[in-house]
Amino acid sequence: MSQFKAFIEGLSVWAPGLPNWDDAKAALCGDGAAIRPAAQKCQTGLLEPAVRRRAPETAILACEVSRMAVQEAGLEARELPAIFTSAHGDLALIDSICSSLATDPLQLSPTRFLHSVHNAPAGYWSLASQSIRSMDAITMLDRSFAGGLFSGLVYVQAEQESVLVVAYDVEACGELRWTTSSRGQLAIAMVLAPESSPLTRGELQWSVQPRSADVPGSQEFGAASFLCTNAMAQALPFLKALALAGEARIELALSEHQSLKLDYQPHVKAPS
Amino acid sequence: MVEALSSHRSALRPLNESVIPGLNDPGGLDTWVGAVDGLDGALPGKWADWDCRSNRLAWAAMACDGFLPAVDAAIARYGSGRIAVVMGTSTASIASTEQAYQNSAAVPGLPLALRPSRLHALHSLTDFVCVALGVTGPALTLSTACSSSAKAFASAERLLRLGLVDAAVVGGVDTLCLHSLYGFHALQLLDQQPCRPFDRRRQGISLGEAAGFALIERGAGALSLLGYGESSDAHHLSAPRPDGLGVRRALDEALARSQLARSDVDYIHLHGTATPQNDEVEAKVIGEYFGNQIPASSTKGMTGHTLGSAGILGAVFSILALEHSMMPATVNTVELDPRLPLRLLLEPVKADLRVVLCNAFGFAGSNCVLALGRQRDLASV
Repeated sequence: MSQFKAFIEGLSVWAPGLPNWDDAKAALCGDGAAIRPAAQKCQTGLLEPAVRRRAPETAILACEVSRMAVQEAGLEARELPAIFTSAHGDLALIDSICSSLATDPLQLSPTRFLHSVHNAPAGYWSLASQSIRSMDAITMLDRSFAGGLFSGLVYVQAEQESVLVVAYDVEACGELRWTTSSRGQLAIAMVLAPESSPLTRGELQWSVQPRSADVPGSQEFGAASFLCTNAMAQALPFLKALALAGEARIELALSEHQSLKLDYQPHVKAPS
Repeated sequence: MVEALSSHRSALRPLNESVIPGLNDPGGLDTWVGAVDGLDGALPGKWADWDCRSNRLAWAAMACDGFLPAVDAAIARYGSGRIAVVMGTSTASIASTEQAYQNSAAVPGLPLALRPSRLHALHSLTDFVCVALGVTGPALTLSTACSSSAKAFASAERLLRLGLVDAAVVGGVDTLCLHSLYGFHALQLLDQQPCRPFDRRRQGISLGEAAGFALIERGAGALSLLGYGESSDAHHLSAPRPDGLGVRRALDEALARSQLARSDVDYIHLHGTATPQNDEVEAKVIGEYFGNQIPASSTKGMTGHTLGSAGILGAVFSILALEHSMMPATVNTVELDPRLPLRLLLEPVKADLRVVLCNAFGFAGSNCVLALGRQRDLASV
């Protein structure tokens, strides 16, 4: 299968206790037992306070990591198309809506309904950034990170322009805790570009291959191990590789049958 | 569908006269819906874990119009790993989650009909489609509200263009569920009468449900995806952008990718949901963009607004129009709103069509325009 290449500019993470890439990188590489921080409210300067108060949690997370990634990439947010990916979307909202529908459906809040639409975070980002470019909102359940990264890499290769990739998942609450194992909060964003620049963090050569028979055993994620119970945990080996900032081979399952295989090479002048 | 197009039929019925298996008694709503009959039967036993209304509808659609043999032939030709699946949906199997909550509310304290189940996730539809078709290539769910299964064509085209796959199953499914019914009711977007797109007395949407599939491959063919355009409004979560900047961008891109001029377009299948706002903005943008020259219609009076599957449904209507040389009528619409600069068709019209545009606009300002045609190729449908 052919190999394609894209360049990572701008990389960001938000999780409780790890509100930016530098903190996340230190945690991923660091020793010590992972102590799960309590859930935190993500604040993002991107949304005005009045908007932020009403915005769903997933939108705030998506906007904050997008803001950081685009800033690091030194790009104009309004010119970027974007791909948003999430296994479950806003689980708190889904729980709240399902509860309302079961007890008093005519009282369902229109705002909650709108916020529960899978591309609501993309809509918030589009509003805040004033980007009129295409925004995809996808899901591949627990392979949503691979799916989002894959979609972004395809977009860059096909269109030869930069794209923002944003991934997020939050905690299942209420009755959904019986069905959905996602815990905590995790959001990641990166800008993928078709060509390198002085701001390039590293490059990815990629292809789609049959899945390897033996997937590498569980990796160590240091003090960030508590993120393993989040539905976006598939991102962790990728983030670990970037944190170590060395050459790396990463395999991310797209399905039972196929994987996204990545060869990562950091660029020498990458910001740390 | 072809017969319905020429006979100008609507499938909308009052909700409270519709028996919808899998939907527990949606009371208190005065609205018409496009419900699909004949979904009472469970999926075949081997798929018991997948059984829900949306997957039943998906299966019903896959099983008709020679689709399964076409996919089997593609698998034989290319291999199952060389076929992608890109499905659009807004709610997938959420009705299963709704029902579990209802059961739990009825018997409090019991740990639930809710248990880990692949049905309690938006990706359940796409997963099921892969299983039902025996396809093992890249498979993703696109959920951008009412533009979902139009954007699915764009995503699939990129996969084909890069040679990552040799064929793609593109489609969309959405079924009537409490989320949609009560959600749109809460937004005050439902009409109490059957919806009448672009009518001077339009009041809102009628919800519908639908499943549609297309198998696309590279190369020349009788019917083609000529191009597409995708954009965002950056304006509001539910209201369309009044100046139409996003829609114009999507139109520009669709024509550019297709290498067509505005004058090449023969017919436009409008999004036409019948909300006062959508129709006003869409009509003004289309009217200005094409100088009110191009015949256009909305089919949502026939089927209702099928949300995540509206894109594929519009694409199918557009393809049927190309194939059968007939432009659909805007069913239920009696009098075009005089403020709207549209050449709106109120009756089916025979015409030799080469290029058709299909609009799909969703919440969060998501816009997609597809260009479909005969005897040109970007991808062959």
